[in-house]
Amino acid sequence: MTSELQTIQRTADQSVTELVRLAARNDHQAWAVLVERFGRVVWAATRSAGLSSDDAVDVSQTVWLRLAQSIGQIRDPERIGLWLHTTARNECTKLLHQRSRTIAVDPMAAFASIASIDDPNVIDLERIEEDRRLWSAFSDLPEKCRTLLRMLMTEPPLPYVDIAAATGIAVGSIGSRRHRCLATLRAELGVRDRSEHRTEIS
Amino acid sequence: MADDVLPRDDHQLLARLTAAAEHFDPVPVTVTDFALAAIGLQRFDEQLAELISDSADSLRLAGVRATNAPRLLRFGAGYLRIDAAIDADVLSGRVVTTASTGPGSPYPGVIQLQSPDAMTDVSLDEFGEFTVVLQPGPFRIRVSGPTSVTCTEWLLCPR
Repeated sequence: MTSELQTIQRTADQSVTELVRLAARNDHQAWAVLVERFGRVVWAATRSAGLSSDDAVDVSQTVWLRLAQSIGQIRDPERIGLWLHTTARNECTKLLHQRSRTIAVDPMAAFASIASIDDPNVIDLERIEEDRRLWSAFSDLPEKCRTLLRMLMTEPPLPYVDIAAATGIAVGSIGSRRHRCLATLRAELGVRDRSEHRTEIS
Repeated sequence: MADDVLPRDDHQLLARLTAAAEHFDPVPVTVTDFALAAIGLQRFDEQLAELISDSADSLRLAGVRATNAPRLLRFGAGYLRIDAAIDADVLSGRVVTTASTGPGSPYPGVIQLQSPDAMTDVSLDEFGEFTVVLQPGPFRIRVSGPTSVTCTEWLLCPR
């Protein structure tokens, strides 16, 4: 293992608190691990707020600049995921306030990427089609469900205490709420299946 | 997607959703690259001005959905006070130095408007006031004093 790889490995194993402390001292390696670990948290917060892709990019960039600017003053470094989520959501709301009109999001726009798949032989098209339908049904869930599930979909997942603080759901209710949201998702997919089936036979 | 294809277990369904999110709504590479570079924009001799008030925060807390009114912000750092208004893509404001009492005196000279890839000098008039047209995206105001540099937090000019 080269020394550079050793450095990356060492940094990746460090606690979030330690990474924040190192990044505050201008350690770019530690910063890169934070970006990798929490990139999805910021992006998911902007998307579940219903921003268009362009606006989500602008807000995400602003949030990362804010973190870089405040990294030395973060009060609770181990809860940086919550800080990022909350900052992103607040910025989304402020952006929407500055608009006299909001721009409708087209959740299907992302699916255009399917058409650009180069080599169909190496991709399980059936699985992609299932995932497309799953994601389409997810996009139609109520906002509270999308926000909760998006927070649970980050890797590594945010701690339940942070999800509770961000969503206002009691720590002891997150599991049952998650179950209900997933049940709604299953039901929505079932309705779509039956509807498509009827269309096919008529 | 029939029930027999969909995982019955919540953990597995969530994992499946996570995979679908990675495929259909990935974090754009531009965002990740930007985030990686953001730490390089930070100078460690800068002082962050305190946000004293933000009309967008008041609206957010009041649950107001949308407004045409300009966003009004006030920042303070020591004896320095920065008032700013964002109205669509126009940023106007006033920079003053304040004593413990009284209205304060106009800050002399020039401040900077910083975007992620540019720094522009903005001249203040005799009242310490300025007006500039913003490019969409993040920006912040920098005031260079004799011994230190004061910055506002990064703000967003909407598209």
